[in-house]
Amino acid sequence: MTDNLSCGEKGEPVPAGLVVVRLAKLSMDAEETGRAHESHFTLSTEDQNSELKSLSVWVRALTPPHVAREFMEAKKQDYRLVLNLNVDDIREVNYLPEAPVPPLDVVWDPLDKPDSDGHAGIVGLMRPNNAPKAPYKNLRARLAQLAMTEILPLS
Amino acid sequence: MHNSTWKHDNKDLHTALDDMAPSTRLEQMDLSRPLRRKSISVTRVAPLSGVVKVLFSTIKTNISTVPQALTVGIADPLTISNSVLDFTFGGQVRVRKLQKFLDSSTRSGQITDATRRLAWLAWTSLAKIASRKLLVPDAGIGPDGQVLFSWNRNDHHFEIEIFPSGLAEIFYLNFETDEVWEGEYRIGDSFPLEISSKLPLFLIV
Repeated sequence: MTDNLSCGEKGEPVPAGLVVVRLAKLSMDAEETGRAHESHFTLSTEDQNSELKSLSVWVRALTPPHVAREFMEAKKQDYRLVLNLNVDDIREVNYLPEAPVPPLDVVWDPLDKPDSDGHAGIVGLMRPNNAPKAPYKNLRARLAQLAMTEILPLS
Repeated sequence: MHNSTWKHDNKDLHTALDDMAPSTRLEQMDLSRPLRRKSISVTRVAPLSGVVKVLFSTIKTNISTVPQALTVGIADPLTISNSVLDFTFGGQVRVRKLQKFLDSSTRSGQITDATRRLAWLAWTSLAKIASRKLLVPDAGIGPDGQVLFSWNRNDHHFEIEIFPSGLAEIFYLNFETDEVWEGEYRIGDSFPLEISSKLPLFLIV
């Protein structure tokens, strides 16, 4: 399947069955418990202002973590935590039925940089103005539960 | 009783005490009689409105064995782990881990010193209303300099997110039943009343 895999158009769904990784800074207990933290799934102001309003992830089959880490440039040493999530699991994350949120999805988000073929984003985490916060915190907590972690070496 | 200003820099009470030269400390506290370092032990620390009351007892001394109480004004009460000494040993280790995590996050520029103080105040306030039996949370730093404390036990999840503005968002989730609750408050103000029904889920047993 991955032999013919390539980055799709911006906003196009990432094929099912793939694993995406998010790079994060270590939370307090990450090394001890191997558990992801909710803060790792928080949209930054920059994310919120981006076109897709997505949480940056990488399709592992195209851009493995050690390559993705290079895009952090000077801060790459800080990004040692790798959060692995299956695209299917992300799409199946429950959310409160009454909440006005679309289900989560993983879509391609091409970058105009070498070796960045695997760049994608998790969409559906952006809370519209005046929408309740709880459903989005719910999604964040459930993503943290789903993620399988690994820790990259310092260099 | 004597009043003095206690200078320190991001150290917990034990460390701060250890670092203070006994003679200097005694001079600052204006004790009438000098005591050797080995003759002093801190037997009780009680945080009270930014003032730490330190009760000294004297041992191995030929001067006096009568405990002496001192009230020491803390220049910056938030940087003192005023909850450390009330926890069990295991709890103390985690409290210190939390403090170190916040300190290192500040040094690396992920959060401001003001946010670190807010987060510490939020934690100590929560611990206080839970009678020092609240589990020490996991902690993470958000992308915009916010601190997020989280507790997970069985199906229960609880978090408090402290923003640099001083606002905090509280969230509870039961992963099994989908029950959720959320609240907001300003650090330093009273917690929402509903919190009292959630904290017992995360107490040290």
